[in-house]
Amino acid sequence: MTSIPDQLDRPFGLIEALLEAQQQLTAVEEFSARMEMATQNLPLATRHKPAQTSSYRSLLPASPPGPNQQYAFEVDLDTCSGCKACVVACHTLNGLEDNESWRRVGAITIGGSVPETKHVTTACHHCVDPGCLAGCPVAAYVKDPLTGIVRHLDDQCIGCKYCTMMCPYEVPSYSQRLGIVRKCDMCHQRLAVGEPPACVQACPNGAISIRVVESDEPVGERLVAGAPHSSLTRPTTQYRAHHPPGVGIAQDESEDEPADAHWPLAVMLVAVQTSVGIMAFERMLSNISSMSLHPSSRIDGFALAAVVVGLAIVPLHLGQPFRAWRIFLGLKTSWLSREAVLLGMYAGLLSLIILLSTGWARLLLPRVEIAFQPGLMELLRWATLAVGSLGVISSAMIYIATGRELWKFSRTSIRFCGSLVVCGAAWISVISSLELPIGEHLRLLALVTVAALAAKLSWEWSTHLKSGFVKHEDNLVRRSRSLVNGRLATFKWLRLLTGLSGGGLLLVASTGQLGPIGTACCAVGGACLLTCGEVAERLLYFSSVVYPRMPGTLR
Amino acid sequence: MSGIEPQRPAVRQLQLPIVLQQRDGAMTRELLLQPGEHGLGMTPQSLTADNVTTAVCGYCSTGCGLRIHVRDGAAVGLTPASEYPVNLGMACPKGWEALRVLESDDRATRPLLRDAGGRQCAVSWDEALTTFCHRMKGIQAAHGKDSVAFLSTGQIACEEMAFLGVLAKFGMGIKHGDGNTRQCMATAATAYKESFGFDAPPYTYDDFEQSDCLVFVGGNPCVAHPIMWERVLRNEHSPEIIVIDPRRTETASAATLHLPLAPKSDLVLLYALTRCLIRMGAVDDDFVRQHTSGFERLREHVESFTLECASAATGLEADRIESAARRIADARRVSLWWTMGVNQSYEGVRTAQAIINIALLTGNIGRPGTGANSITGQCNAMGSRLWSNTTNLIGHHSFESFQDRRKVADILRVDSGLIQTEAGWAYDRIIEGIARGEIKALWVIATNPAHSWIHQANVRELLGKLEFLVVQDMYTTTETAQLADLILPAAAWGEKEGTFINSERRYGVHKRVRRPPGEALADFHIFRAVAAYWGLDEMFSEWTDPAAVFRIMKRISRGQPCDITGIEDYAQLDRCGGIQWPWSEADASSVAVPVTHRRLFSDGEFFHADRRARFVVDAISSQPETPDDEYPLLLMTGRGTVSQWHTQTRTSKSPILRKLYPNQAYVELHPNDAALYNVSHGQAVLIRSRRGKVVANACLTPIVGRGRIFLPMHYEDTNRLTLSHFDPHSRQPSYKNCAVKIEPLRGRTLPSSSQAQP
Repeated sequence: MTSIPDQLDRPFGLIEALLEAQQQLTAVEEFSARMEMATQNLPLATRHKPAQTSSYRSLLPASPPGPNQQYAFEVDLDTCSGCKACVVACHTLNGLEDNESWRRVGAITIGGSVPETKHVTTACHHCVDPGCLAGCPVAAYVKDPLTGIVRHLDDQCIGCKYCTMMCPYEVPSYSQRLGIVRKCDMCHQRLAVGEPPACVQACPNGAISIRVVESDEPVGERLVAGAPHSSLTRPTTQYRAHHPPGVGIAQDESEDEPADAHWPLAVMLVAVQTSVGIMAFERMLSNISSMSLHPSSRIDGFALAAVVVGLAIVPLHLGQPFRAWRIFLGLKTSWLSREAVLLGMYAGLLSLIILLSTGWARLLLPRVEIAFQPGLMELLRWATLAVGSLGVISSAMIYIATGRELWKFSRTSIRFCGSLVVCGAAWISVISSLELPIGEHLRLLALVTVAALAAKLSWEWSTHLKSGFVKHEDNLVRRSRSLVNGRLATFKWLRLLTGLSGGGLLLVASTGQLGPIGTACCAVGGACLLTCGEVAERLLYFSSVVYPRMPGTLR
Repeated sequence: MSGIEPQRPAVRQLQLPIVLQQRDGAMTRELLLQPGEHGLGMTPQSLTADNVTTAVCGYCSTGCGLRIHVRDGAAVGLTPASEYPVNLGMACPKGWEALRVLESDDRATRPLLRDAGGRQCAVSWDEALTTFCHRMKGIQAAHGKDSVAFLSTGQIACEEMAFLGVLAKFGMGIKHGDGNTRQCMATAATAYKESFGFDAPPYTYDDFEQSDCLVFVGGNPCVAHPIMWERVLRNEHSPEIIVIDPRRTETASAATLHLPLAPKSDLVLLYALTRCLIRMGAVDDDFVRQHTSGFERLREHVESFTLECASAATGLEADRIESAARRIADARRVSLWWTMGVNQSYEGVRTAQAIINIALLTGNIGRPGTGANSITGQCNAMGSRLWSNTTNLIGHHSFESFQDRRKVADILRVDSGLIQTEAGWAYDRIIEGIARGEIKALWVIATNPAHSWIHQANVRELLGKLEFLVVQDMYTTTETAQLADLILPAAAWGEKEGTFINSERRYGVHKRVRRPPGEALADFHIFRAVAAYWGLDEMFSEWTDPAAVFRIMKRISRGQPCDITGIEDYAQLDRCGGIQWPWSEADASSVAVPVTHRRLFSDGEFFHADRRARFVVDAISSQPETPDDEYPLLLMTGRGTVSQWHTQTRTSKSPILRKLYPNQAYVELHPNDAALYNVSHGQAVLIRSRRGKVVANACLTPIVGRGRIFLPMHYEDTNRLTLSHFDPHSRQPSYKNCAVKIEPLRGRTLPSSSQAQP
């Protein structure tokens, strides 16, 4: 570089002046005087009138719904050009979080001689039979009897996320910040004053409108291609298009992301099933005279510990655990409510058994002799097992009730009952090995465990763990398997390794060759591994679930 | 206020007691809406305003009015302005989120200077500007004044463009400067200038509503200009909509007739349509005789473009082409619209002129619902065409004309000897100049060539060769800013004021309603500071603020077709919902309030000396790179979704916008081609051209057609593939045609690390 040419001014104070000027905001003073003048002369009612009014009269119904009628969204798919202003308007005009919107837009590709891309905007369908409402354990959903709008009561929600499973349309979405879900309320506050919902007033093409529909109108098979069966919840949104509904392929068809693994739920389910399993085996063995196993406080204590661990972990799953005391409010419709109440009773009954059988009660209630009759204790144990079993059935029904194909009765009950048998047998063999001389019963129980495990593992292998192509396979099963063998492969191997090694250790223990301490360690280690394996199985159950959904886009 | 909420019956439904069912509380109140004043309607807490003001949007050339919600002087949010004559209360997602992208962590807040170790370190403005002048002057002293160049943008205000143009050219003696508008509008500008005698898009958006036949050529307004599409849908004349586009886009699907022609066969098709129209007797003989010249040449030229020849070239059935011509011939008010499919082409100018020819020969110009109408790209591409002082002398004057130089020199009170006697290099020549070592320093303002310029790998390498690269931008993370020796932190739209000119020639005001982060300064202020540090105080003594520069612009425009001497000030622009050019003192004296929708050429008088429009025709050129055995597919690029803007420096900063488009690069591929190359939907594929390679997820869709693939331009690597070739007249890059091949990759989808950069 050559010489530095001529003078370089350093204008004094310029930068400071510019920086200061840059921070002054004067647009309002400069421009707003006119607006103030323009509006000041108008009557108050007109001043407050929304400026947008003119554009949306035709997008609202002329009259409110009558009996057996409700409001519904109507979407003209032929007019929608896919701009997605509805999504952002919903976000903005409802003051939602940074990346929160109650509307989504997906795409459908239609083939044939005149191919096209259709965009599908979707929000809450304000269903006639809302799954969210039926599933909610705390009555945090209400369906307005007059408008049919399905509203979520944010201050009532405990953040259990069960509605996100019960809604086939993935409408309620969970907010980490609030610890609750939120969802579309059809801008009921706007409708109440004659303004249309945010999405309706923001669509440049007028493609979304509010209509009054008959509540008992028959529903079609699905709203659009790939969508869930409308029979599940009877959604009210009406999609109009020149194509018949259901034509085309969603752009994100088969593009499945792993679902939430819900680890606290997985641990809770396995713990509860272990507990009930232990009680079931206790009942069985103590009624087989040859087994010489007697009810013991160790068994009761163990069962109680398992269920308490399970129930203690649940609050980690809840966004608002301190509101959860209202969990009984949903008993009428919600399997989650029923599960919570039953398992609470189960834990209470187990505690009572321990109280009575350890003699603590004698100190507290010295005069109540009747409580210590052996026959009564037997009855109490049977009752406890019954309540626990109903709890486990409720657990299963929670997921079966979602209508998700991969969580249907057979697939869920085999897993849940399987865990109950495998873990119950494993742990009762461990407990009995601590109490009794190692002998036939341990060998027998270990063999029962390993046999049950082998059966369960082979079922899991054939239904969802194995990789590779399978002829005539159900679409959802194939997609789920591809997740298990792809993004979730870690869980898969964890499940297999823990299961197999746990079973192996139990077999070794059952030989009794390792001496009392070695055998006990081996048995405990085996049971722990087996239980971890069941938890891994449950994590896969949650995270590998796929189900029909509204169209999305590539990610 | 009458709601449509049904009357509640006197006996309310049985409800649980409050202690059991909390129907109110902090979380419920968070979503409570309040009746908003200022015409806002029901408004959430976060958006309540003590005042509102309108600003014209800073993304695309539609130029929507956005209603800024102001609390304590600062913007808290925005909604589309209900009464703005452009958008009528609507906006696309980019506009809705225009304020959110200002809050990003990667905003440039202090000048950054690359130190000896190669790191970009924060320095004071004083040091930055001193270094700027010192290095620039040093390089000019060593290698000549022309060794410094600048690349500007269509994203800054007219006043800023004018400042930059005058400062760089007349003040700093920089001859070579161009804008990124070269990538979008150069073709339209060149075509108009030659055909009409001035770069004058003749239309108003009202024409969308008045036409009974709309022809879209190489345009997809549903995605690129959704608010213009809004206007099309408001057309009450059940118009014919003819879409000429290789892909079956959303717009094509909504058309009454789609011509899915082979890519780059548009000029043949248009000439064939012209021939058909002439044979159908659709020529407006009076108009052609009185107001045009060159018709006989046109007639002779198109004679060889028979339906058979066009059918062979375009792959369309002959009767489909004829049907399109018939619809144009039968309609009373035909408007023809084109966008990047035409402009970004190696023969774009002639294609645009073929469209203009059709409008002229059928007399479809100057009347409501007619016109040969170029839809512009960026918010102020039109401003760049008039005020950037690059291709044209400021105010659409001519560098070559002595009178023009004299006029400008007098108004600006500069020595006319400082004004160059010819235009500087176009963008591609500047890039070549860097390659040849003739350009040593480059000043890049609000654009991102390291992403957007054609044959990108080459550009990145060349930018690295520069002795001094200055990037003036609102973000430090753009691909170009990463390469800079000096970053000057700029305030953005919403943090400064000025005017934009939209596609329909409408001046609109944008306003300062947010404080920029840190020490970021408006581009206007940066130019002021550069002028002062360069020692040009006197030359710019009148250039104190944008409003003052607007007054200078008015003086310069006097007597030009783009005369704006009748516009009073920003307040009038604000009051009127923007004002289209021309609006001269004479216009203003005859009508008190400017008519909202005005179109040009209603008198058939064009801007050539003989007042006649020209029919311009040319021979068909061949594509430089066609698919062959090795690279069997044709790559088209373009806009992916409404929520993505250009190189995504802004749109990737909004969390809600990021949810609206695929975050990973994707490529549209016909299912039959996919089967041929063993690619499944969603699978990652490797796309190779002779220049580079790109990985993208396959999106199988028949809308793209066989033998072609479509890759959106927004993803960082797209232009690694494109072939560097240009329209010979406009120097605009031809982005939409090069040969590629694809192969599937093993993984199903891209790992998240290769996401589009935020």
